[in-house]
Amino acid sequence: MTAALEMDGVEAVYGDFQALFGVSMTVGEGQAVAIIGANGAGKSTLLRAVMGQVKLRAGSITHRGADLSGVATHQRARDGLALVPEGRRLFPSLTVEENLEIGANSGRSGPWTVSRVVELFPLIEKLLGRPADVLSGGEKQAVAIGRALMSNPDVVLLDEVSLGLAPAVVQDVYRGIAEIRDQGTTVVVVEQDITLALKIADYVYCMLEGRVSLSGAPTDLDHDAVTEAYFGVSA
Amino acid sequence: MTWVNAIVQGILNGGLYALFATGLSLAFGVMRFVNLAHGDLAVLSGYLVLSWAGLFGDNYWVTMVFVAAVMAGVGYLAQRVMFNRTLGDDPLPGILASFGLAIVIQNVLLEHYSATDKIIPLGDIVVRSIRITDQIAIGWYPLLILVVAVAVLAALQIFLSFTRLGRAFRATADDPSTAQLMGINYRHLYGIAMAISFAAVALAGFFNGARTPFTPLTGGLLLLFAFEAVVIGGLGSLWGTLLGGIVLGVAQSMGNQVSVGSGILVGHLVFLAVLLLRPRGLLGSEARS
Repeated sequence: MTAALEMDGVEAVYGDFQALFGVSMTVGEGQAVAIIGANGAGKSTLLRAVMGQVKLRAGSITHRGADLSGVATHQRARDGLALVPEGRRLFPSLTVEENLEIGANSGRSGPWTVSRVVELFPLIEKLLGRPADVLSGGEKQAVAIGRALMSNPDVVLLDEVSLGLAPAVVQDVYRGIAEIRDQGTTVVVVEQDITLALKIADYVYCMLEGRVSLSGAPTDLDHDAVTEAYFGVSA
Repeated sequence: MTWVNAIVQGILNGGLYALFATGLSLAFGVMRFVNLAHGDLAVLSGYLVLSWAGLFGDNYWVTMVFVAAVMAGVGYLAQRVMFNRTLGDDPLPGILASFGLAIVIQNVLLEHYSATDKIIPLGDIVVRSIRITDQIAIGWYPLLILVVAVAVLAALQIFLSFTRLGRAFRATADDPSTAQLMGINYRHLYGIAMAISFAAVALAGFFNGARTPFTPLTGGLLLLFAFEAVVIGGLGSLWGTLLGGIVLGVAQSMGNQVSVGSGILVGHLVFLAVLLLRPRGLLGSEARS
């Protein structure tokens, strides 16, 4: 079976600073994969590299068997990759509804529409006419996820979705992510919160200083090994 | 009454300044790009109308539409081939590239048309007017320019607010990198923005060229007026551009009322005053973070 996403020996640099050192990961079709790790481990860089927003110095990334090197970011979005970026990055001069609709700009057909997104996150319904910059953090996150779904992607990458959100809101957001996974969409979650990540994922990669330090199914990972892989010191 | 007349004439002149400024404002609003060749493109369009009118039986109005369409194509190509390569956090490469383009246009025009001044002969519409009172008359031609400027701005507003492409323009202006995640090819989109900008400045160059004689070196002053209108109105604000054009026009005609020939100076002084007291312009919003 072809993987939804395959990273092989990925290396990336920002100027003089090397952020990724030979990272390899495989994400199967319909799988939910969590990438955990501390701040600065290279998780967000990896997602940005998948979207073509960070150039690779070495290695390759393939999406459903197709090599992504030389493919522009907007084309990757049209090909079915969607990123919910860190910090949500809604468009402030667009209304919530326009923010959702612009997600459909890629022109891909599928089940996701504004009303389907409202079903997934009912709190959005009363916000549709509002400018996107007046929403709370949780509301923005729901809209950002909805906007990514509007492109009817086959792989959704979510970067630090729980960061800065109240626990009750995080639960709501993760309930939505679980629903997306259950509908067969491949989900890659970057998360600093280990407990949340282990709960939703079929497979977990832990990153430390730009490398994969541990990987496995959540049931196969023991607590001490995860702590060591996460922080770089033994528990 | 003479003051009322000065204000009326100033508002009418403001229409032309707004038309000049529209393209500059759009390019800045969408791409944060300052095109220093803007005035020279207006002059180039004026010359093209003169040169190509023969193809359309000396109908200058039809030639104008053709030239605006050609300039739109040139604008798209200029953005894709040249200006897109200068994009980045540093605005200097774009400013330098457009400055270079301005010099090239000026010299090609000098070479081809010489420095003798030219005017587009539109006939007596340019001088006809409606007499309101003994001291106030509204010229048909400035009124037409004002109407065209308002129509162009309204069309742009409708395009930006209500079309799918317009929404992509606004999203890209907000955050070009996230806009790409929506499948928006910003290089193509910037090309379309520049095409609209070039077409608008071609219209302005035509209307100006039928009213005031121009030479290959007129572009610098036209750029200055457009720039002043954009800054007075508020960077990147469409309707601010109209307001800025009108404020500049009124300032100039009031200045001329006080002392003939001091209009342009008074316009510059108002521009400086706005920069000092309200640097974001009259209708400008907070700068993008």
